[in-house]
Amino acid sequence: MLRESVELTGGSIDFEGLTDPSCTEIRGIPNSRELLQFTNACMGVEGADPETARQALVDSMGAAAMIDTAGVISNFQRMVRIADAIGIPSDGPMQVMSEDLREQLGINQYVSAANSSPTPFFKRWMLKLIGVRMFRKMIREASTP
Amino acid sequence: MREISYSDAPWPVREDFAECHNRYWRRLAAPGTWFTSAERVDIAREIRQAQYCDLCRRRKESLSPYTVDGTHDTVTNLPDVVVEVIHRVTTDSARLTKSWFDGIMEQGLSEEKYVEIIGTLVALFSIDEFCRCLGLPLNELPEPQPGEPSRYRPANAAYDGAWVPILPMRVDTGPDADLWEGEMRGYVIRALSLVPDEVRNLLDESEAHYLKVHEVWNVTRPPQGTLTRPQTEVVAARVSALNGCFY
Repeated sequence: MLRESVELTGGSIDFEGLTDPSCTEIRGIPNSRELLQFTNACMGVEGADPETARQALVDSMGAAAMIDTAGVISNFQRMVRIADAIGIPSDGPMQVMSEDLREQLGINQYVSAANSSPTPFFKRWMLKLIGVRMFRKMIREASTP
Repeated sequence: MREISYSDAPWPVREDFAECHNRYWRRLAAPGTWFTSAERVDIAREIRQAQYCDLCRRRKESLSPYTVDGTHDTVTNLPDVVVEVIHRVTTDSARLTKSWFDGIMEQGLSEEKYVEIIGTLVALFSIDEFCRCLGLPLNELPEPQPGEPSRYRPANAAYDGAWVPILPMRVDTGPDADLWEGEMRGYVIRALSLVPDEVRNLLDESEAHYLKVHEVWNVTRPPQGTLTRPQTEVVAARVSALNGCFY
């Protein structure tokens, strides 16, 4: 979703640091330093102080943004537990679309990756040829004002 | 029931957060689909207790949680199997395996009750996390209300890739068609659909915390509030990564 969102808004970002808690900034995303600092602090990453991070985000983006960020963090604390506890696989087109990113970021090593079996060759080929294109078209259409 | 309000917070908190949290609190206080209200509130208490459980802490610190035996530090009379589900999913969901789930089922917990536990857990945990992020005290749990669970199980739920039966990608008719709004839904929305009310809770909370579900595919659509969509997705990606979530 992040990649689609950035590409459709004409930007580019470096995904490399996304899964690394010690990465403090994502180039191309305004205020990412404060957003990630606050996220790490809320998630209990060692050395990240919640009060300092909260204030830094308020100072850079305002109190409303800090509260909205708390909403997003708590939302995804929920979504990851749903996925993990119900053992859902990745949806077919998304799995094929994110192959390169999952490899690059080491996401295939996660325990929950076992819930998504590798896509068989023919299905993967069909998804790449048709499914992913239709999916991207659907996203582009949904994102057109 | 005491209404949830964030008016005492040091910063102004959007009203729709308190409104949505109050709606969930009312649902938590009422009988569920497979659990009574008292049981649901006990599940909520146990979710909060999990963070102070010594066994959970030792498991979290170990290379494999499956090599650490012991008894959970519990604050309720819920069955051991229910406590195990609550504590594991709350504190170490990234390392859950199908074998662990099968072991839970072998202990006699039904799939329907399992899904309601997970639905209750994620809704309560999310609201609590919101408060923790803001440095606010947790909201007082509601008083249980009388009544019996509905025991409603959707007839069209079936195994389709997840550990439990789920509803199809698209449902256009019947009592649960409202969840689909005439669109297809991905696994993460269908996941809790064996207990459709848990999906209703999910969609309601998602609207305040993130986006309306039908807006998710509009990747230029900013969420409620002030963040841009890429900023939102960076935060979401970091939370997922720190939780070790593949999905």
